[in-house]
Amino acid sequence: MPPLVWTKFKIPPLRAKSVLRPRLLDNLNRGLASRLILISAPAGFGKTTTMIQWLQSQPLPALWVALEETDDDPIRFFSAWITCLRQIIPSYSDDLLQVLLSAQLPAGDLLSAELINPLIQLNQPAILVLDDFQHIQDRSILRFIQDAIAYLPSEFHLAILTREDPALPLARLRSQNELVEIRTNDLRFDPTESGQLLTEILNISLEPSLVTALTERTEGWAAGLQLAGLSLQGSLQPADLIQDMAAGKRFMLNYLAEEVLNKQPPDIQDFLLKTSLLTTLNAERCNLLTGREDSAELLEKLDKSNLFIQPLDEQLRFYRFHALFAELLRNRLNRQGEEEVRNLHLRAAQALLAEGLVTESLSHFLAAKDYPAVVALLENHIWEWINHMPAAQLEGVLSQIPPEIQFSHPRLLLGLGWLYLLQGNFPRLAGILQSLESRLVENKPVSDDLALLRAEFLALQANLLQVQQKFDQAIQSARQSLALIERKNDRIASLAFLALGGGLRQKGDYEEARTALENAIQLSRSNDDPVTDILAVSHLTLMALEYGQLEMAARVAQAAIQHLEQHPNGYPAVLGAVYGALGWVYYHRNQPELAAQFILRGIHLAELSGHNASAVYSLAGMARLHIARGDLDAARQCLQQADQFFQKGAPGWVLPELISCKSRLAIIEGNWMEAEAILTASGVTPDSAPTPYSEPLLIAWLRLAIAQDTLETGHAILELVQRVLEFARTSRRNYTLLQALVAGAILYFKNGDTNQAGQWLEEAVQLAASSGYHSIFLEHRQDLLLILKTIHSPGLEALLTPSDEIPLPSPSQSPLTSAKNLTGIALTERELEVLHLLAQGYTYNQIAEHLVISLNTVRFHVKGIYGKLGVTKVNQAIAEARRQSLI
Amino acid sequence: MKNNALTQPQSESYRIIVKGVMEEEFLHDYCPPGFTLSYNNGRTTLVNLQTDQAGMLGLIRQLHNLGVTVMLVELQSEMEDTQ
Repeated sequence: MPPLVWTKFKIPPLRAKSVLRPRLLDNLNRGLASRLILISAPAGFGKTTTMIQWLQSQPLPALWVALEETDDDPIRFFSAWITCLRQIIPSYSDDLLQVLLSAQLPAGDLLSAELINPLIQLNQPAILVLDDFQHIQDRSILRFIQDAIAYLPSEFHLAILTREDPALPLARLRSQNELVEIRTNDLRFDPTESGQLLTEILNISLEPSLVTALTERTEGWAAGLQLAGLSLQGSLQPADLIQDMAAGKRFMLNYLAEEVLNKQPPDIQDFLLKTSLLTTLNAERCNLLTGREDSAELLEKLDKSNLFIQPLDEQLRFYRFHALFAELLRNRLNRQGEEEVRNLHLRAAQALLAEGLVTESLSHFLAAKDYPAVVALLENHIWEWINHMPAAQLEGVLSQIPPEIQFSHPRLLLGLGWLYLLQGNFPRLAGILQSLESRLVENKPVSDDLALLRAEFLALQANLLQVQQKFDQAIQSARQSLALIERKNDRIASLAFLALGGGLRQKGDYEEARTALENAIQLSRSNDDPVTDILAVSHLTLMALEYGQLEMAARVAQAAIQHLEQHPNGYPAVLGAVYGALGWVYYHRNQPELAAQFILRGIHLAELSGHNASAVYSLAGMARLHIARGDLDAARQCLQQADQFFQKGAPGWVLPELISCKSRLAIIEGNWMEAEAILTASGVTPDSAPTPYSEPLLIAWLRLAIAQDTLETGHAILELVQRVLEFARTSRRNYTLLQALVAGAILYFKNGDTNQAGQWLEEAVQLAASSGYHSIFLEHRQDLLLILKTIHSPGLEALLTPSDEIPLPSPSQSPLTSAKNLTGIALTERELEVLHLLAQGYTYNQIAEHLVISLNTVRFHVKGIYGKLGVTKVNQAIAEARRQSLI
Repeated sequence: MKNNALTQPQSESYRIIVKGVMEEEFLHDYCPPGFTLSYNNGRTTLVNLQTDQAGMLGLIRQLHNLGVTVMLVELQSEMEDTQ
């Protein structure tokens, strides 16, 4: 970790000598029995010193976050919170951290649950100090802190140090005796403490009456006392100075600080002014800014004489200005003129750049208005920052660059375009493409550089077109892009291959799509671009499923997960897209427990990362699993959620499976009118031509026909079976073929053509044996069992024999009876937790609050518990759990 | 829960007047106990807010963040001294 970040989480070292204040420490000890410790007072009253003294006086491990102005941003704040806590819980909020680094902020409930649950499970005491909390005004952060105060376990202590009261319901906490606070009046030095400070620390001996007068004049303000002490050092007439400080004459801080500053030799004054614009000081930076060579010694000297700066680490390599002086010094510096300040910012930027602190140097380049330097840094690092910098921070930097400069740097605009593509912000992406089009496409390429820019433009455009289902245009743009690149830039090539693969997949060109996606994967992996890698892998996995390549789908997805989870920089949360796709593989293999495990993780990561496409297909997969279990309520909830994600903006190719799933649910509920309405609304009718898009919907029409069991529509439906079969055979979409064979067999059987039904079933059974699909047979189990009474097929019989996993209920079973099918399966950890709380008499609401989960989730777990214990009431569940010694 | 001898926010006493009618619930969650409240002419007056300046600043900023217009802030004890 770079030092700037590292010092943020370090408990600042105490000066060798400081006045110990037992009365305050006693107060803080009492704070261990309350929900919040608050130290609220203006700068310079000794909040930090008091807190450190207390931490050193007690045995509990302590963590520290020094908040800055820029932390009043949820992404930055929560990243800091997580980074800090990972010191004691190494894997704390892995997923969330990746999300914060790459994308938007998850919803508040989810966020609080993600951050607080691991601390509830920690089971070890700790103190977390949030210093300089006055910077925090953001509502989502404050809401989280409020949740933390309410839900953190009693052995995890939260302490807030602030210059003004935070916007938290302090009055309520106070009235509940849940707040221990130290305020300005508590922190004021009394004459005894002032005396100690002056004699023991500043080596000044004053008459007791003068000490008392000084304490009164400064109103016990530690910084004021210290400054007064510094200006008294070596003074022959201390009484005069103290007289001068009479309250109301001047603002004491300015007066004293100017006094102390003016007493310094000119070269020290110059040193302080020139370095004042650094947030963190070290010898190298100071040397570069001031042109001196002795900054190391000077910093040490300033620290020893208690002047202006505070060390940030024990090795005394890093310092910062005390908040009171930083402002004063910067104001003074500004009086020296804009040009001087600009020059210093430039030097500061160069100094930070020399240390490899590229992002830190950006703010100084921006302050110096050196836009060419900012643009150069952005152009060189944009892809790395898109992958690893919080999106909001990157946008913040970009927004400070004047539009005319942005406009004249196509590479910068392209970087911004990729950012919008990842965020799903398609309208803004389209705007960027439009502004670039005339400059990059209409001119003939005059140089390699322009050719590459044009290639990147085309790759970006192809990706947008692919998402918008304009696959022919996407394929064309991607191919043009690849022709221009001629393997000169692998990053752009991998992105063009991704768009090409996505387009070809939607067009239904399996071999070419596969080659393109494999190229995208290979290039993005050698180029360390995990996002492109993941998106290509999910396309390939889902496509392989459509073509009956279950083995390949599993292999590709598993390899990607293995590769990315071991990535040294962590993995982006869009990896959820691969989990969801792999879950579908297990669904088809009839391994519902594994399927649920992967799909749930896919949903979780998709929610966190805001990746709507994978949220939709993962939730549809979960709905299929719930339907198979007979839990139709849960299935309906999944589909409603999937709808919401789709409306947030997702590519059109996820829609057919979602609609098909909804019609499936309606059919199982016996609601054929609704199923028909759902399918009709999709625009795909039984007369539509089969395409990769329409095919899941045509199969859904077949499913409806089987359920309706009417002979009038028979002919048209049998014709549809033939059409889908033919399409599937010629395009080698084997999963489609399998579904059409099974559906066709059932329909022909019902129509009295046992011979045709038998032939198709045999072909289906062989196809299933070679490809590994079980799902389709279990989905039609009832009808197929009926056929088995007439047609002899040992292969089919074996496929219909319940495996070791959950057997399927018939459509007529109510969710309640079907829950019995769960009997004998072990309770999950979460279900056990819920069960324990139920046994203690908790209500659902209390359980939700206690476990920081939603009420619906509680109901979901309770349903699971009932099913697994084979009961229908809470008291039965508790009795059964006791009988099985589960609680 | 636990019965601690807590430090109470101190002794200074403020009066503020804001535009509009403040919700009681907000007042009880965020304002120090012991204040008195009156409404007139579409304004809310809070008297005897016992807190210090850090507490007052926090409260004012919060009112500001809620879109409330603060019309007057007064340190009651000091104002009485000067009258």
